This record gives sequence, structure tokens and C-alpha cells, in this order.
Amino acid sequence: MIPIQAILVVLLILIGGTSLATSSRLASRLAVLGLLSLAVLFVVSPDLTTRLAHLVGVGRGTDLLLYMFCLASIAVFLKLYKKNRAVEEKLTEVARQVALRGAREPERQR
Amino acid sequence: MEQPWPDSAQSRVFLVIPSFNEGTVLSATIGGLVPYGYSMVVVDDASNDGTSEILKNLPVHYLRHPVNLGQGAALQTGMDYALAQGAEYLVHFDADGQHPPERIAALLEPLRSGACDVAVGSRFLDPASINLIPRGRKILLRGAVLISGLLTNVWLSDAHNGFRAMTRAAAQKIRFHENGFAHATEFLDEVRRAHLRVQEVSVAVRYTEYSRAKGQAASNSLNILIDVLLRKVL
Repeated sequence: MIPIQAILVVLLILIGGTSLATSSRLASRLAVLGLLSLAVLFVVSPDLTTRLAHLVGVGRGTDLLLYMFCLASIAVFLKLYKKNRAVEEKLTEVARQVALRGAREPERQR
Repeated sequence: MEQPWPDSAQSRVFLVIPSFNEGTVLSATIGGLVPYGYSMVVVDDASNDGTSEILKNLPVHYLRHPVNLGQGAALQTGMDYALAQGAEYLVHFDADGQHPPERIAALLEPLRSGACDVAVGSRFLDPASINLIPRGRKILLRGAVLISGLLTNVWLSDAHNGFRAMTRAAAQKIRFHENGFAHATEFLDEVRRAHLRVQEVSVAVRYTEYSRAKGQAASNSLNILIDVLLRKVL
């Protein structure tokens, strides 16, 4: 094992452990574990990605990883967008209730 | 002044006026509306120009968002409030005074007669009124009509007119989720979804120096379009 592999494996395990601790749903924990094992596997034997790449007609394993990375980024962006939308709607509802409760009627004015 | 309905009926017409940092012009707008006897709901979208103080002695219902949410959200808050107050008819009215108060009655007319559930003002029905619209604006509005029509399948001559009136039942079926300016397109979406009957009423808009300066910049239209598209896709 060359140094970079050792560094990557250690970092992957740290990151994986953190996200395991932050998510409490079983499904997402299993997904994290699955991704983590796959990542470690690819780091330990890089040839594996190249063989996979050839299977789908891509020249290099790194290229395949890049494509996957792009797709994952877009998926994350969309998920965050939706989440942000949901948070915004909740904020709107709270602000609306505050406004409705604090309404000043014409009669009550000086 | 024309008063075809008794005072009590007038007060069950609620004007919903969203406002963001328009206190001064808003008080003038309200001044012009007072003689008509409609109920007025001002939704202050967290202005920092002292709108609350400026409106203190005016006969309006005053609501204030604790944080700025956008015009669509302010309209929705005002509608919720008006419905809770027993509004029979709801009218969206601009704070900057670009809508002529004397045309409110014209907007309400088809609602009262039962001809439609929603009446929308249009700047494009009367040739004289079309000429009042600045040229660049006209092109922009025509584009908006096309896009709104394609997206919502509700074809109007003036899709983005903020001067609208609706019955209580219609208002209960319409809900804005778009907080910003994309609510104009969303409004049509809601109208179609709820199978509401729409009619257009000719209304000339007064383009004052103020409304020109404040009005949505052309560049902002693109932003609104993106909002609308994102909402369709996601």
C-alpha cells in the first residue's frame, strides 16, 4: 500500500464514521456503509475502477469516477434545493402566523 | 362618486395591499382609496422605512411580516387575514398607486353578477391604454403572456397584471407557494387547477416616475422565469 492509499482510507473512515453518527435512519446508515466500503475498495485496488470503466466503454477509471462525481453533485444540489424550499415554506408559515396574530385593526388605532 | 352597493357591502370587499418600503407612496394610495369605503389590509413585508408609523392614523388593517418574504407571501398573508375577517370579495392592489381605484368597481362587477370567479385587470384590451405602456415594457409583457400561457394554459392578454379581484370561494382555493414575483404565473396555475372562471377587465395602468423606478427591472424577469421553470420541474 502506497502512502496516499493509507491517507485516503483513514480519511474515508473518519468521514464515514461522522456521517454514520449524524444520520439516525437505518436506510441512510446502510447507504453510508455501502458507499464507504466501495470507496475503500476502489482506493485499495484502483484497477477495479479501470476494469469497471472498460465494462461501460470508458477509457480510464478516473474518468468514470469523475462522471459519477458530477452526477452525485447535481443530485446533492437538487436535494438541497428542495430542502431549502421546504425550510422557506416553514419560515413563511411562521412569519405569516406572527403577522396575523399581531394585526392592527383600524378601530384600535389612535 | 358612484356607490352602487350599500356601505356594509363595500366594507366586505377587502383590498389586499402588499408593501415593502413604500410607506410614503402607500399612504397617498390609501388616501385615494378611503372615500370608496372598502376594507383595506396592508401587509408590510418587513419594511424598514417606518411604514408602521406612517400608516398609524389611516383606516387600514395593518399586518407586518417579521422578516421579508416577498410579494407573493405578503399577498397570501393578506388573503388569509381578509378571509378570516369575513371578506366577500378580495382585491389585490398595488401599494404604489399604479392601479386606478375607480376601476375596482369594474373589476367586481362580473364577480357580483356571477359571470366569473376571478377578474383580472388588463392593460391590453383598450388601445388607448396600450399606448400608455412604455415600449420596452410592452415587449416584456407580451413575452410574459406567451410564457405564462404555455406554462399554465391560461391565456390572457395581460398575464402579469397585479390588479385582480376574486370571490371569497375563489380566494379559498388559491394558495401562493411562490414567495417572490413568480406568484403572477402561479396565480394562473392555481386558477386553472381549481377550475375557476376568469374574465379580463380593461384597466389602464398609471406609469408614474415612481412606479417606473421601482417596477421590476427587465433583468429581473429572467430571474422570475427561472423561478417559474424550477417550480415546474421540481
